[in-house]
Amino acid sequence: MKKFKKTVKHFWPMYLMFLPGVVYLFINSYIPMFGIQIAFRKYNARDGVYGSPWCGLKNFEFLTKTKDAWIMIRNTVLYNLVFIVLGTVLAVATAIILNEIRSKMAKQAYQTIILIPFLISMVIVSYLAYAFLSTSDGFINNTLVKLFGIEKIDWYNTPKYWPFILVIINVWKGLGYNMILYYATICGIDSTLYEAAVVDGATRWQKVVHVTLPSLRPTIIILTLMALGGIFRSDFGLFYQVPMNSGPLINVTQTIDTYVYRGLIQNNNVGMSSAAGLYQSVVGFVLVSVANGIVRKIDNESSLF
Amino acid sequence: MKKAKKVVALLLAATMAFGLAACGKDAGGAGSTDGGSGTSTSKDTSAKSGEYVKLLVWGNGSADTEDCNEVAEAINKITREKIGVEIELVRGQDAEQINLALTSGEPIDLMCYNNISGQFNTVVNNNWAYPLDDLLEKYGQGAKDVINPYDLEACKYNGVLYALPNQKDTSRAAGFAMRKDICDELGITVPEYGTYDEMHDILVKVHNAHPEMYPLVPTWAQGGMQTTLPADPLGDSLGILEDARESSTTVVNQAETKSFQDFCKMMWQWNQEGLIMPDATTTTENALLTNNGFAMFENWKPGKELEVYKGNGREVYFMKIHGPIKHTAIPNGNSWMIPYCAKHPEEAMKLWNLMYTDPEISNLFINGIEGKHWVYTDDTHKMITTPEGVDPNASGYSSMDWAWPNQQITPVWQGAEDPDLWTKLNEFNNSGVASPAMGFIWDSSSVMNEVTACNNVVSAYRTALMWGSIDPDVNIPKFIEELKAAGIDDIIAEKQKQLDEFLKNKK
Repeated sequence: MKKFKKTVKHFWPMYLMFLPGVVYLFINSYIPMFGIQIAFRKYNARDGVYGSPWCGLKNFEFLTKTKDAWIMIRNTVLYNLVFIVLGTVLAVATAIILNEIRSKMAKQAYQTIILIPFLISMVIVSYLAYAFLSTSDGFINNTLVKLFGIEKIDWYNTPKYWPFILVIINVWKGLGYNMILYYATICGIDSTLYEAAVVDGATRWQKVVHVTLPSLRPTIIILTLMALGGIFRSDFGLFYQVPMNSGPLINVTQTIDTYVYRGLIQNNNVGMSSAAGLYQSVVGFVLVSVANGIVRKIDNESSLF
Repeated sequence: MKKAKKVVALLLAATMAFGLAACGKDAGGAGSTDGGSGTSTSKDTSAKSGEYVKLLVWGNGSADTEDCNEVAEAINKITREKIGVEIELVRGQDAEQINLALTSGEPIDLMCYNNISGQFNTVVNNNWAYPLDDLLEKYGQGAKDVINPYDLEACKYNGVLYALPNQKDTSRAAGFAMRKDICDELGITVPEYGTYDEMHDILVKVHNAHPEMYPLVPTWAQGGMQTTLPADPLGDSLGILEDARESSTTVVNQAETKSFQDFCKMMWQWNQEGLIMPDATTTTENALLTNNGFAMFENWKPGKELEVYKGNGREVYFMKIHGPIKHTAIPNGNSWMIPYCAKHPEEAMKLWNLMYTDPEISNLFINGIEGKHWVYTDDTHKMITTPEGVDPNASGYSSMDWAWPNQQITPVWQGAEDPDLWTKLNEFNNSGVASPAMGFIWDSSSVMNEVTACNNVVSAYRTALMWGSIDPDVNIPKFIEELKAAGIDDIIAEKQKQLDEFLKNKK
């Protein structure tokens, strides 16, 4: 207790800075936790949260019972893996390239341009995509046909293109944000390391491989771990709004979130959606713990906790 | 450290209590049904209005907040005196806002459930509505006199009344609405009743003469379609009666019915011929006749031409595919209820009664304020029109007469064929052939998992098939197979059981 008081006295400005974050986390992440019980109840609005009868794991059944379960879990996990791998590689690459640019003006201009998509709402992105892909008025159909004389493509009814479209859109949108995180780390790398490398006669490429990348490793690991935690989650906007909720695309656009939304918008079953949410969280938590455990085994310093 | 723990515990307790309070009034509300004394309800009147009970009313259709407030104020002048009530009027809430409000127990006193998907079925399956039998008996005699008892039956669930039907079209005659200007230009004569073949010929003619137009467009955004199939959806369309006009009460899977399959094949064919708007299932626009659409699927009723004109700014001809039919979802559709979380159910019923019986109040709710939102066309005060200088499509208070309890005591809008519209509407309603399952409401709770799974399959195929966007020869078998995997047969069996039970009790 005495020690605790001493630490507080010593580090109080730090604690003060820490406080808004705690309050935020408490309001947004801890208070809603009281609702977890809804996942185990047959919720109806009239009886309220505490009055609704318990129903055990019945709300979870639909997640495993149907054949859709396999499709949506497959889609969610595979898309996320691609997003993580591709997103990280491209973000690191752009961050490094950006760092090599000498002109300050150009650097800032590029940085801003790459970041802009991140700031656009997914709903607007979906309309941008629609402007490209619409069958009758879309940009691609009107230019492709004119340039190559190809038959117009009915994008919103042809599933095979959508894995690529979704990946492209996601990377385009998320790149700027990830890049900034890596770029900030690169800026923080001790310049003496580079000077030493130059003295040793390292080429630009060697500097990247032997100085920049190893310095980035902790950031990459932490960001990947956090991304793994969300591997059962999906950006609802990306998978629902961007494909314009088109039926024939469902096999390649269905994720856990859209499945729950589609099923529940018609049935209004709050219990089932809570169950799905809890399921996603638990799996995410397990994945982060496991991945973190592995990282700790390999490299204790880089692990998250 | 101990102190910190205490603080955390306290905070946790506080949040739990906060969560609990979300719909803290249930007990009181349920109690007052049998008690029926006004004192208990008037006690918790919001302080704002002082001696009057303030009711929160959620109507359908778009309107500006200021206009709503103005209308509410005009209504208050009457209701304060008549029933000691003031209202707050809100319009234009979409399905998600309504779901959220009802799930979290917002104290709405009277609301139109038109925007809830599944409408009455969803309402009763979620326990959202307040039982009305006693209230109607006590405070709703006027409304009871107006309402067709046959339609009232459709608003009961397990023998308990949960809604009152609006005095609107309670039958449905499906067909096509076609733009008058194009028909006249090409010399197309539109028969009152027609076949799909006749429709096809018309569409081809239009396509040839106006290749820049879309001959057939969705009725509303994202492939909306007023279906021309005469089926009784029995609530959620998972398991239907193929033809509501026939006496068969066998519940079937719509994907397996010949009428559905033929329809999909026809639409596929039409799509190949370029008769259907290419982005039909993805377009986000409503009112597609406004620009370069020619025809759409639409239900006809007396005065429907005017309604389409109000929505699209285009005059239309109608060709009907089948005559008027009636099934449960038509009379109980787009109607009103008192939500379970209403603070003042009795006053709400009194107001509701006035909406059925008081022409002035009904007119205020439906059409807004005289001089601002509408004016009489002449001194007979039978017909109204938009005031000069007001754009009929951009009024601050849109008139959606069918979405209010009683449009039949309000003046008719100019442009309708004649002031006798309401008589004609009632004749039309009574001419509807009733489905043998009329009045049946289905309880899906025992097959919830299957329903969720099937709804997902349906959203993958149905719209695309019905708009001819995907090949029916390949996709209908896939559709059926996936429905079966998702448990449609269990749903149908359960529905059949409930329907048989219902029919037995009906006799």
